[in-house]
Amino acid sequence: MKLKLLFFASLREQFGFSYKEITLAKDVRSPAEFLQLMSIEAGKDWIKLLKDRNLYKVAINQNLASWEAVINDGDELAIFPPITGG
Amino acid sequence: MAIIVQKDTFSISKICTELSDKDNVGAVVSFSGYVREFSKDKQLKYLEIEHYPGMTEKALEEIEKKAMKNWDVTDIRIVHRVGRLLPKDLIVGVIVSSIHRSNAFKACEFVIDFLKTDAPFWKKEISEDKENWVVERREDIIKKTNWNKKD
Repeated sequence: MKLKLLFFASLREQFGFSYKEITLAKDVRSPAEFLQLMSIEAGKDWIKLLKDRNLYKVAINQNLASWEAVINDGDELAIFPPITGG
Repeated sequence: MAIIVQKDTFSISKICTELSDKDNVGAVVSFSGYVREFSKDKQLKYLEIEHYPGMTEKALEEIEKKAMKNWDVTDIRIVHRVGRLLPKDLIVGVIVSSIHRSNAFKACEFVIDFLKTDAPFWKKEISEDKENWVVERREDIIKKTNWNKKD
């Protein structure tokens, strides 16, 4: 399963990238499952993000979504802190 | 309807004139947001505004469409700046025209309230000795929730 992953603002700084195409070792059904998998495979920044996930927002294919929403192969998944524009 | 996300500054009055020149316009209401000089007690050096290209435009279009559906307005323009902004700089403009003022006032407030919570922009404040990402304001969430109750 492949995902286009985007981070913005503080998460972009913390993870050191804003965009990455990721190939997952196994399929995941939701952003929450994606975080669980990454926290096992990719280390402490992901464990922290999994723990603090309710402080962050998620968008699937550029639409705001919940952590439990359905994701599919090839989707664009963005994770970011609450919006502060205007 | 139009949405512009840009680095450069812009003229609110020029857009107001453009909208008022159209047929059947009896009212133009505009909201202008500016960079404050102080963040808490700190003098701000500058602000960095980041956004999510693609989703930003999509989210703003959705907000405009909802406003056009809810109120009888003739046009809505949203302009939001990104990149480095200095204290007192213009950040955002929402300009709404209608036949009578009431619809334009309400639609303008609706658009800026939803922009604050649904359009993916993030502000970082840089002062002399520190920098921090701006956190969401409870007041902004309450304002949006109140609109949802009215729906």
